[in-house]
Amino acid sequence: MAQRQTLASAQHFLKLHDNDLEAAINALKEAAAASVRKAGPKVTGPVLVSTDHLSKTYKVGRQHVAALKDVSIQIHEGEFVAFTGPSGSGKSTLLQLIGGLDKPSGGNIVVDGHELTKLSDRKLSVFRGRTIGFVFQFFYLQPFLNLKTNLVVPGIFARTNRKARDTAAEKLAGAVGLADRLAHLPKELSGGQMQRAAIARALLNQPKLILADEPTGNLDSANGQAIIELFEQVRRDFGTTVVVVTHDPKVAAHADREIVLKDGEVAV
Amino acid sequence: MIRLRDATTLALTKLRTRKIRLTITIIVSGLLFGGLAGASFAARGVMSSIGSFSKEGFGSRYIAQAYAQTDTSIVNQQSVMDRATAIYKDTIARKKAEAKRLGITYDPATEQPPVQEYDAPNGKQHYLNAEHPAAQQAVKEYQAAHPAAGKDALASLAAPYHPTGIYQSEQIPYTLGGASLQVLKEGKETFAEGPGGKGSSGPPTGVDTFISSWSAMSSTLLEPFTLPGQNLKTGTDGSVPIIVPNSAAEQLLTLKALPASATTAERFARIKEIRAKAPSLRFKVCYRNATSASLVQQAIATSQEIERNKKAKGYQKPSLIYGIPTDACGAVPVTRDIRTKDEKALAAKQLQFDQTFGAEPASQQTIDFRIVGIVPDPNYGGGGPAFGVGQIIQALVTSSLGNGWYMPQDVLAANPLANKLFNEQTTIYSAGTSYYVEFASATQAREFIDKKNCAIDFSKFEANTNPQAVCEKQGKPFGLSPYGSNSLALESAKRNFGKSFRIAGLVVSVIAAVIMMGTVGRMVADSRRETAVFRAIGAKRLDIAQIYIVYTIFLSLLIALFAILAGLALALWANHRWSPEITIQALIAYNAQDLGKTFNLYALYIPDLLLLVGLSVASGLLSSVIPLLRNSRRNPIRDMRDEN
Repeated sequence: MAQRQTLASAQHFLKLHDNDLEAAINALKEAAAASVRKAGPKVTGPVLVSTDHLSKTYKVGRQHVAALKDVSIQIHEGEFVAFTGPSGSGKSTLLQLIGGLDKPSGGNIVVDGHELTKLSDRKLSVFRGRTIGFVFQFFYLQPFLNLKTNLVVPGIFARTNRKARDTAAEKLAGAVGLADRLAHLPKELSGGQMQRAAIARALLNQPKLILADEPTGNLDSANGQAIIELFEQVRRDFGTTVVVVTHDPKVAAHADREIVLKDGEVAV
Repeated sequence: MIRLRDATTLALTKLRTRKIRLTITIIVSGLLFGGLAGASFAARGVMSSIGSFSKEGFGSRYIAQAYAQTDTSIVNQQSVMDRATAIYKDTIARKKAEAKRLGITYDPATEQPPVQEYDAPNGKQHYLNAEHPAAQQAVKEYQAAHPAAGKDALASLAAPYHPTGIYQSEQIPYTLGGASLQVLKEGKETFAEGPGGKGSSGPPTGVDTFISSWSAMSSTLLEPFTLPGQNLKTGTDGSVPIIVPNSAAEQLLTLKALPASATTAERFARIKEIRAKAPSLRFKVCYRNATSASLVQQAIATSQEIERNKKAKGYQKPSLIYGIPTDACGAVPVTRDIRTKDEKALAAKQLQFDQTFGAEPASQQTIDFRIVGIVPDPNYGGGGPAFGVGQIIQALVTSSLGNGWYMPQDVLAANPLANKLFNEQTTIYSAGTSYYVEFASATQAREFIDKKNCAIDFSKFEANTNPQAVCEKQGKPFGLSPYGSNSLALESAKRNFGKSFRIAGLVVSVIAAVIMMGTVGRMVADSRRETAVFRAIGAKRLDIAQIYIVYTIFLSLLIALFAILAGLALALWANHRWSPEITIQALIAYNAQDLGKTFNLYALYIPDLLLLVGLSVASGLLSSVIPLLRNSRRNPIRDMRDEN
């Protein structure tokens, strides 16, 4: 019922401002975003991520393929947001653009006050190291480094104090239930343990934003559930904003808000 | 840039991947650099050992040997041949007259003329028989009129190079006009092969080399070669000090020559034994003048004739028979003389005739010698095992007088017989006099030789070209060469080795860089996903490059370590294989007083090894340039996505 009402108000808005198509589409999208907001902790913090008419085009052979088309979204501090949608809908691309791993073809992104399109490669690296914590589907732990060293790698690149980062790594390992595995190599850990370790690594530099790309995609449902709970805990304990790309409805269900993407656009 | 320690931690993980490829790279590149390391160990070892041995003998002295160029075309010169023929004809005429006066028979047809004839494509040619007395007389007259350059000329030639000393030596003439010289073994004279023992097959060895290589030399040149406790003065017993070849000392000590299969240890023990026993050992040399030597030959021939005809009926022994001397170097005895009075009178007249024309009464005499030093034989060990490297090294370590018998020149004055022999210059080909110029530095010696040597390519000379005239015209009357030691060659060898080492190093580095580029490139390509992850969690491009550079440096250091170990193993193996042999060569060549010295084929020369490590690291860094440039242009997201 609430959705229908929102849509009706948007249609009304469209009729009022039919000359301003762009504004109308934005309004629609905002309405759509609002429509999927779930129940959960009330988010009142300032905007942490803001994309404005964001687009990304890849060149495949001679053809240009639009991965993202005119995406404008906002994510607030402390929010747990899930990007969902079918494969190829552009959700991972959006995640990477927010994380400063790739440059948009058009539009603008502001994360924690940084206008990413204006940052140099070097400054983008610093931004990623300090503001973002990445979690990947395949964990990507260094196989020849023990767990503790794997956890401190982000600190290495951020040139943080050695002792402080060691302490942080130990605490984080404890927080993710791996305190007794610090000396182990990744191959000695289970998939769930590896992903927990990857989350701990992502948290080392106390980022404001965790970007997780299919974090449960390579785990069984029990471990997947544990990871989701861990994200919840991270948000609760550290106040970290969490954005998750997922196909998993269970994960999406845990999010405060689900942003559905389809064909590179935020689905209405 | 990340901290070096952190970069090291991350780089070290890469050494744990692609182990087979990594190992092959380390071995192949390491062997390339290992060759360099081995060359350094060995060459520096050789140089260092030579330096150590050089403190003895002529090792650290810079001496040039000078031969005055002489006119070798004399035998083809018409004026000399004419003069010889004139002397010959005059002698024949005098002999005829004397024979007539004495009433004896003289047949000039038995004489050989001094000028011989031979057929050549362009008609009959003539040459001088240098052994003929008339030819020798003509040559002497010619040489007196055209003297070869001497010590004074050498002194003024060398003056601009500030020589520190000029010395000379004389060698015994090749032929002694029929006279003989024989070293007495165990005090006995041997006659089986005739006086002088020159009838044996192959090159003479041991004491038999005396007659061809007895030299008188400045004491200054001999001093470094005298054994401890010995001196170069004539002994109170009249003994003449002499430095002898190793094998001669061995024979004089009545030690049986070692077989060719003798081990190094046995040969070393023998050297020690000779060194211990030979000093002050006395021996005698028997000189028989031409008449005495001829009588000995006659005695041997007669004895053989009688032996052959022992059973022949009607054989009559000669009326005059000479016996083989029973005393060493004793007079040739007459064992039978049943000549008639007339025969004796005729023989007396013949003797008078012979002596009128130069024949001396038979005489024989011994000279007493005393061993004061040992020098190597031309081929040490009398056919010892052939070892290629050893021979090369032997050539390199040469620091000796040469291979011969050397006595001090100043003893000649007190020894009339020796004095007479050395001054009896009988042929134009005699080695005669050599001069030696010593300099304070290698540069001066090298410059002197380079600029003042009259180099003659005899292969391009016509038979009647006169080298003496050619060289004197150039103002360079001497043939010059480094003498006695390889110090000049060593100086340039040290310089050249450093240069060659650097050039070889660069070549090896480039090859190694190409090999390493494959490995580093593969490593970078294999690590694309990891690079992407590191970039995602905050690594800058420079941080990534730093990790690979540290990795490359580690790889280079491993290669250098392998190279040094391989080179050391190679050098130690070579040392184990050849050092004992070469040590013996060197001990003799340098006349080392300390027989405990060893000649090592390896030495640690830090600058070479540092250069090697540097080159290895440089080639590693060179090898990483292209992969890193290629990597920096890649999009990490695409790499991450491609992996998925």
